[in-house]
Amino acid sequence: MTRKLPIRTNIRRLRFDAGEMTQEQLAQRAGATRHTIMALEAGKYAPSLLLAFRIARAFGVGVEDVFVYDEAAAAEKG
Amino acid sequence: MSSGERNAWFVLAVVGLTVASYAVAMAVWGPGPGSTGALYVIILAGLLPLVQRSPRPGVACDERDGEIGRKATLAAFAAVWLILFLLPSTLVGAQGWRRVMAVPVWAVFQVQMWIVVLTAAVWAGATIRLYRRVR
Repeated sequence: MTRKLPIRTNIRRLRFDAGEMTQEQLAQRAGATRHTIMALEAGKYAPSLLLAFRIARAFGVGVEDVFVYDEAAAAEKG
Repeated sequence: MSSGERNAWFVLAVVGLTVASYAVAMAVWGPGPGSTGALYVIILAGLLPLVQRSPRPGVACDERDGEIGRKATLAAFAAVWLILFLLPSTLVGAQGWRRVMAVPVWAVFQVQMWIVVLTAAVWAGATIRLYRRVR
């Protein structure tokens, strides 16, 4: 069984809106590896606050525009 | 696949080849200094390319890699401590406290090398598992 994180991300949509920004480009701007961006998009990793801010700044938006706390998933998880 | 996961698979392959090669060495020479020497050479030769790998351009390691590395190292240390506890306990249980044993030096070396192999296997296994796990 795969555990689900109570955090949803809009990274894929934001990359698309930013002119099809690649995962590699975002990784370079945020100071992370492409694999971490992939894990974030797949909902397999919850980033630190610092990385969350860096990613948000890379898109020029706020943190809550990128990461959404999923109340339903959190309640399910207990 | 990230560089950390790739390294872990490489170490796991080295461990597998070491076990297989040692089995062949044991079949040829039997237990003794010959197979122990072969074990040394295999481990050293297998881990050498890991040190010589050239870094790729871009960010090589970030917070996720660091976190996974720390957890995998902790798992490897836990395995070492478990061995350090279980090995003497088993020996005491089997031989008693006052038993004097004559052990060849190659056997001591071999135990040491197997602890290294096991630690590497635990580290690699934990790394691969953590890269696949959701966190």
